Amino acid sequence: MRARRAAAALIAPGTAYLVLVFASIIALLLSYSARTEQTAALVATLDWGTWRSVLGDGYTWSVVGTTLRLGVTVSVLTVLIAYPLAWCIHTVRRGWQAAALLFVVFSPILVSVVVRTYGWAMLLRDGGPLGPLFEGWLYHEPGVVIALVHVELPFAVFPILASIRSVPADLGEAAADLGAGPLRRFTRVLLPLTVPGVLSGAQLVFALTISAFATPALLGGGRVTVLAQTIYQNIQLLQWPTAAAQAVILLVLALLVLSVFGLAARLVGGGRVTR
Amino acid sequence: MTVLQRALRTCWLAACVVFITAPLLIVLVASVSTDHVLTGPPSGFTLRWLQEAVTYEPFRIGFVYSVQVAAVATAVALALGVPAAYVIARGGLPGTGVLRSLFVAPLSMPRVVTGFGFFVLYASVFPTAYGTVGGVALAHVLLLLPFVVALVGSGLANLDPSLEEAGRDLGASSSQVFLRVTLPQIRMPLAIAAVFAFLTSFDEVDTSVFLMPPGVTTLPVAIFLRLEQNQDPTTSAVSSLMIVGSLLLAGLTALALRRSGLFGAGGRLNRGART
Repeated sequence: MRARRAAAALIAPGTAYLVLVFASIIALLLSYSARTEQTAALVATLDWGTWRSVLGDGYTWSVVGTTLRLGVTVSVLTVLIAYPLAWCIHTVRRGWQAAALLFVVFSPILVSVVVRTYGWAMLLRDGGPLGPLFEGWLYHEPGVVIALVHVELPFAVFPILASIRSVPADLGEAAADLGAGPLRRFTRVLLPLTVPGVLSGAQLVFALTISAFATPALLGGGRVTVLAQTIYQNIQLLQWPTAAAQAVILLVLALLVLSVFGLAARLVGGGRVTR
Repeated sequence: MTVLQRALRTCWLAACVVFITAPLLIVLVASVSTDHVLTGPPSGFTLRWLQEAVTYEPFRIGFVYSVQVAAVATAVALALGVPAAYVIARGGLPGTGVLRSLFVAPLSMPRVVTGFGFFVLYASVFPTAYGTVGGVALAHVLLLLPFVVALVGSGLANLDPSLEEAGRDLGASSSQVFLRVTLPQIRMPLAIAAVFAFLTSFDEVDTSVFLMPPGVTTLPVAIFLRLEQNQDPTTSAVSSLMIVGSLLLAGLTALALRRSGLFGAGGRLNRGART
């Protein structure tokens, strides 16, 4: 009993912080979006005008469309690059080489997104080293996509690498002994066993992409507008209720994406071969 | 592995390493090149931009601001997160699963929504917190808690609880057991969590941008606001300082941990206890 009370006392401050922050943020977002006047008052007259105009506006839906399209494009491309990369890292035998590769792949996480985005702006701009090759990419969607793939690559490599490592090596050898070629071994043995890793990588990348702010803001050139930017813009325009409604939409979208991937992972996990 | 497979692997690894490092390298090169706009190989070496960057007032203020915010946010996140991770790992409370989900829940919240949420929270309830070190740090704590709890929790999961039992049997109080037995064994995950939390807070843009007026901002936000207007060598210089600083801090931490033998310490103790 005393131990339990001590444990409760240890975890209470963090729990109180999280519960208070979540409760007040969500309550305030809902309250701000359900008013039309520009006021910081805690309680204002309930008015669904903001929601009506946000949901009835074609612009909102085109922004949501752009946000989701970026999410799909970036997660597919990132997984397509990350999977072979993770497999290559897995097969590197020399310890120092593997360590160096891991450092190269993961250290960009420690560098600010603003700095990495700026690097892409320099690479892609007119007269830049990649300018002629990727003409017209900067300040258009492809430029935003390539920079987001770069920013989020480590988040896909990590879970995929972990799931490749968890596949016992003798499974591949057994398949080879039974006469399966490399392609068959990949599609029938390795890929099915690493689907959970692919799903959790894609989930992370998708959720991070639809919430991304700095990269589309700096590389979109005003042509690519995602939800996160409209929230920021509406604060500048002192349209707090509209910003609140868009924040609620983004939050709902993020939670939906996470639960869809969670559901998919559960379905796949249920059919997994167990040894 | 056949020769062809080996060659393919080398090509893919090389392509990925170029893709990952190119945007960082171009920033580093541009920051010491005499060219105003880097179009090809640099025409000369200069420290002028670096000098301008360190004397540029918004960047100087931003650096100090960022360090203060990161220090406060890291300290608070550790103070709240380490005891929480301990309680969750030991599972001494009913509803541990719910608590674990609560402490990783901030990861599901888009950072822009967090930023806007704290913005309306401060606007409605604590107007004085807007634009202060404490106000920004309190919001960052939400982003850092999941990392702290996960990293410290994984360290605790590798511990042998029988060591703590032995400490208690020998008459140590629970706080003595924690400080003299548990804490020394999780020094490494603790150090990693602290450095990772510090850098995450230091680099943060998406949440911070909502919480400070444009005049006085943290360093990454100052870079973001400047990049929205134009790109110039001074921005390259401050960006390259951020790259070098982040990687240096990460590298030094890894080195210090290896030097002090902490990489093996926990494992040795565990093995000793089991045999």
